[in-house]
Amino acid sequence: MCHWLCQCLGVRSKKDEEHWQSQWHTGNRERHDLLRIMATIRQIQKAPTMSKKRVVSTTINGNATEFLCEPRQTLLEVLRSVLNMTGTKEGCTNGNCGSCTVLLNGRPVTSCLVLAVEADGASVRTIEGVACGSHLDPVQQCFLEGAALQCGICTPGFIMQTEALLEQNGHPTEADVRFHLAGNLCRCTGYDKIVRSVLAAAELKRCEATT
Amino acid sequence: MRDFDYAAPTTLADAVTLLSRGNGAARPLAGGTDLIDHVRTGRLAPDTVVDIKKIAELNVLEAGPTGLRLGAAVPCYRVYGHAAIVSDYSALADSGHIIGGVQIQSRASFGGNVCNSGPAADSTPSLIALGAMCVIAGPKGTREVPAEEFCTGPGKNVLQPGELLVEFRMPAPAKNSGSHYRRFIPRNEMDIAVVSVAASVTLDDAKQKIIAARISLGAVAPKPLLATDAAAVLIGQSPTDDVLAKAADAARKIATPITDMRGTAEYRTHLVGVLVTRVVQAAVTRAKGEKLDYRPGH
Repeated sequence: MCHWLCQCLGVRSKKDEEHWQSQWHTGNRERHDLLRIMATIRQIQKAPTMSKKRVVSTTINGNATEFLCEPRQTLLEVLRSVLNMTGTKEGCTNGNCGSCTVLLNGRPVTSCLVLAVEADGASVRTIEGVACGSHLDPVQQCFLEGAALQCGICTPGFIMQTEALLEQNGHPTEADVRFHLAGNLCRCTGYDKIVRSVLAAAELKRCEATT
Repeated sequence: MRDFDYAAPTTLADAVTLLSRGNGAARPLAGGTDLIDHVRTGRLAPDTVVDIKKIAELNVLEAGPTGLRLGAAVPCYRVYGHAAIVSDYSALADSGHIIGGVQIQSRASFGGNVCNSGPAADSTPSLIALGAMCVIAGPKGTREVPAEEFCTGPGKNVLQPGELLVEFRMPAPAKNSGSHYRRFIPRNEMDIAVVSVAASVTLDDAKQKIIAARISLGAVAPKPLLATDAAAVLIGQSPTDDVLAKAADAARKIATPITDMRGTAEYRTHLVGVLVTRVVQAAVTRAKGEKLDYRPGH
């Protein structure tokens, strides 16, 4: 059992395995001990190959920002866990749900599929940069008034994706909106209120531009 | 996600060196929409990720009298945002518009899609129909492989350890030619093709008869196929219902689809015929210079 565990966790050196075998046999075989041993083995496995942290310089919502990260950390992880910008939400972590959408050099991307090191030299716009002080952006205003959210997890992603759409196309049709938002999933609203709010936001932006 | 090292070389030679030195444990990163997911789920376990987006050759996007050069790392949005591609290599724009959602299209590249070598990849049939050559750099120099020979099976292709797909080269479109790509999915977007078809056709001066054609089928075999016999049926003919039905029959004959949750083998074989007919008609419409009534995803 212990040998098998070592194999599964990739303990390859005989010495390491003997060490963990002795731990296993002297220790309590309760579940929490097993988990502790597994966690320690994982740490030992990881430690020698740990890649050096990198310094990444970006502009986030207009502010020059530097952070330290490992190559394996995604932009989403760094935004939320390193920079404490928790407005961007984690959903599926495989690019299907769109809840982690941010704008990278003006283009909408799912930040769970971007390595943070790739953001070096780039500009990032997140949900935190949409409102101007206490003044809501037209998209936020229309989502609020149009009840385009319920639980709210998908909302930052939808708002960023809508910002990207309205920057390119100020007169979207309903079909344009639905096609553009296809990469964002919402389990509460049934989408109609979101689509209507995006159309209302487009109109509001046009009105603001002419006045 | 598992630990790995990251390198972002700026020259092709450095990238090939890094990939060769990795001896299979180094993976190139273009848009990352497949790679990062595969590393997270444990399907791939690279020690080094080589970001290839800073290499000029992989970002080239040029359409000229000698044809089109499409760098392997060029993201989809640049492909369908390129005026010459939309007008002269339309099938590529059709593909780019329906690979994932808009966020994926900001990052995902045609090169990555082809190297991932999925049988249902949306970019490969278009590249095959347009006669693309894949330019590959490796430790032993550069070689070229036709797009239809690049994939060898699900997730498999001709790339050897240390080799890197650099760009696609396509010949300049002939006069009176047009192309189209379409897939069948049960919804309008964000899905994997049940069956997909790309076609390019060239018409004679009178725009009546087809003088050249290439048809490619996706998701009906272990790799995307070039339907040579189906294209041969069209040569010298007007695209009448009868001729299109014969081409559809010929295409059905080479389809060897599987049955899975997206559809049965019989259903897929039927769809090959339907799509070949519609896609060739659409390519003919474009070859005539007429506007095609088509919305991406429909």
